[in-house]
Amino acid sequence: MFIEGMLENDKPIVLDAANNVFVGPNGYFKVVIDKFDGKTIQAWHVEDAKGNSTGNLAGRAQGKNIDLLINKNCRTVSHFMKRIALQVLAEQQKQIKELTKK
Amino acid sequence: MAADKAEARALMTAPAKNCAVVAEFPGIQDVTTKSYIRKITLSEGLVIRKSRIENGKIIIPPSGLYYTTRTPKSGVLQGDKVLLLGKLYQFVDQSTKLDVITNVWVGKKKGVPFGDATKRLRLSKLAMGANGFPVPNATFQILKQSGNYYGVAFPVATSNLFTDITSGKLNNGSGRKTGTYLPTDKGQDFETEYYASSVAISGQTYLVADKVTPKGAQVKEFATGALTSMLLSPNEPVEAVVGVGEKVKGGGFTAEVTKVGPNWADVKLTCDKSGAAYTKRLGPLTADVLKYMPVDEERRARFILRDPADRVQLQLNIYKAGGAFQNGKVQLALLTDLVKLGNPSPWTPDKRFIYRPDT
Repeated sequence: MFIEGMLENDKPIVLDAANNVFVGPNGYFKVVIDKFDGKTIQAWHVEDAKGNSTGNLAGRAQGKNIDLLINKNCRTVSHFMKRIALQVLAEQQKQIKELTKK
Repeated sequence: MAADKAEARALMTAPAKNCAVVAEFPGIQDVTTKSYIRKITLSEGLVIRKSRIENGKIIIPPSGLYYTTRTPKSGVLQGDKVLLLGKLYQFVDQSTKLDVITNVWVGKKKGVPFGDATKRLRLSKLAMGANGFPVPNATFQILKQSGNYYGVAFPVATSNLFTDITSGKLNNGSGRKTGTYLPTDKGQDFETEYYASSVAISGQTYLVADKVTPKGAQVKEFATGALTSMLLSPNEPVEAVVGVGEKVKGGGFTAEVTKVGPNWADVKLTCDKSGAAYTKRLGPLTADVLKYMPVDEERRARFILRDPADRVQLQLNIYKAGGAFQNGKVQLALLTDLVKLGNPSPWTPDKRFIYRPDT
């Protein structure tokens, strides 16, 4: 019975403002650092092979890490998401409130 | 491939609580496919964990970034597929192992490694008041390489204040009839009647506790299975219903049926280039053999013939509509250009990556 397989980076990945792109296995996705001053990541995103791009992902960690979860339909990812779902819900309601302020 | 001495792998860890969350993204896909017996949805995911900023650099440790592909318990021989980086592969065969540990003490909130030490048995919860009086109840979990837990938890307790159900005490029920009982009723003592089990199970996985205390638990024995390798095929299988003397070609090999019995078939697999030939009797297909199929590795092999280098697999197609035996002919499938993945193994198309099943 097979449930899950992973493709992991073998060596450490080191990124900075000059070396700002990490290409995933077989070029399937890219992690791109858009703005980094050496202390805080102001902007970064993920791209897929077709050029689709996420928005800026720096918000939740306030630029202190690039930890990531993509795709709620993947059970591996959703288990992690469920641990932080209530916090994310509260953050998003706060953001909606900010955005709808007249 | 060797573990990076300079920096440990980020196995068995979760992303930070303040990680970036993307619910849906076009390039990380969900694909619904049909196997011989069911419709299944396969989902990809992308995870980064343990990333940090150090000396003006952003660092992701080894195994800190992983692409994951998830299946709803895919089986072999039944036409299930595996999604890898947007491409569908046939799930051809797999091999498994059972990791066992015995007589280990596990402290509260601590864990012990087992197998190749990429997974841990964790004592996640030691509750003292779970029953309304102070007695320890332990809940074990299996922490996997991905940072997730195995889907089932293992609750155990041992105390003279509990009746251990492994004694068989509840096997035929308590003897009570349907109704409502009060503590003062004659013969009733349910306010001090508490049950626990010193054994917890989930399929092949079992945990036997010797002793559970407020500080931890002594595990007598724990066992769980895992994949050691799997074979995939990037091509559609060559499928045919063939009689004696008829051939099926694919992947640089020719398969031929030489004899058909009531529930078996003699087959020959020949390498087109070298002429090397391999023969086997596939079957017999009986109700008894089918009991633990398709997971039973040893019995499954009776329906499979591969060349010694695992380039192709010829199989009796027992799960495809119409069945394996049809009017003196047999239904075969030839799976070609096989790819073998280990636990772990380098991902050959891009050696910056390691493949590892998370089971």
